Amino acid sequence: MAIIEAIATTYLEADASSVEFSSIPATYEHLQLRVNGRGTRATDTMYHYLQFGTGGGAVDTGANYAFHEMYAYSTTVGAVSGTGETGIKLHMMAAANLDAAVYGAQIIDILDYANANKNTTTLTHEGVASDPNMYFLSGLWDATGAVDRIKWSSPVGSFVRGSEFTLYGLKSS
Amino acid sequence: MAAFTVIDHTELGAAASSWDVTSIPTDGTYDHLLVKVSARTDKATGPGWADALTFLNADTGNNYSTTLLYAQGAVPYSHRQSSHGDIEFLYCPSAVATAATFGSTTVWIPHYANTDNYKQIINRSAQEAASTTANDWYLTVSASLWQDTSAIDQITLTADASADFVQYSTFTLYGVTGA
Repeated sequence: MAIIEAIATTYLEADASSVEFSSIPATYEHLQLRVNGRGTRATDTMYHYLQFGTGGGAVDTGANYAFHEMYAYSTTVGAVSGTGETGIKLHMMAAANLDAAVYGAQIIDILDYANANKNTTTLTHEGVASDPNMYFLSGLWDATGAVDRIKWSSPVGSFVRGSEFTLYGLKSS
Repeated sequence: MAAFTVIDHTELGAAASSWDVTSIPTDGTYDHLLVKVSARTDKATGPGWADALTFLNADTGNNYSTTLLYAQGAVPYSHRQSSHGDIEFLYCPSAVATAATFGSTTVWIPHYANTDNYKQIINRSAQEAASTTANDWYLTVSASLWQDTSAIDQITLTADASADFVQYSTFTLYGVTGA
């Protein structure tokens, strides 16, 4: 029996304002998201938000999220954090000013996502090397419900055709 | 044959000072080790973050070194620790951090049973919090060296400062095979 299983993949055949995985089973120990993405924002990376839902409902759009990040932008380094956010802020969608074939990369770990005694936390490594930037960041959804829905969306653009989102489940037995 | 196998998974039913896995196969069953930790400690004082100390093969000698990049405020820093008695840079929330929040850590140990090499340990670790105050949160990416050629058959994580890992902390050890 495989320990890592692909739960769902979405490949965008057309631009989309959001991407969402729903009905995520609670039968895994950990989740991992792997994304190649590009956005319609004209310049810079297209920042976006990751939101979660539980109990079969819609994702939580309240100000219940936080994030902390450190980044390298060319030869500059920095760190940024935020609380009271309406989603975990992420960056890696390549913007429209870059070569058309440039898509950012993003790997997100969500450990013990179904444990109702824990808030949901994320660990993300993402980057668009030709922008040039790289981020390492963590995120918090201040809610203990088992995650069964995940959504990416952005207030500054859409995800373009060719972007691909895959959700994996990792078992613990 | 499956590439990933669960060697051990532990969810604490009560607070415990350490997680210890022994008798990790070193006969070529696996090529790499992957550890995923979702933990919190009951350390009652100090910053929002707490250390978990890593020991390999129960070695407490000064045989570890670590280079890391980290942030806990507005500026990232690098740090170097050599000839040390443990690997310190696995972080999780302390008792003063946001309630019900556990740290996230992923550790890779490539070719852990190769007796020609010292062992390299690659770690990504975060202690989240609903706060932007410095030291309430911690992010780190690190590389550590265990200056020993022995195959790794034991991994121990111990909560620092005489603290315990709290109930619901989880530790998963995967063995990963090559071709």
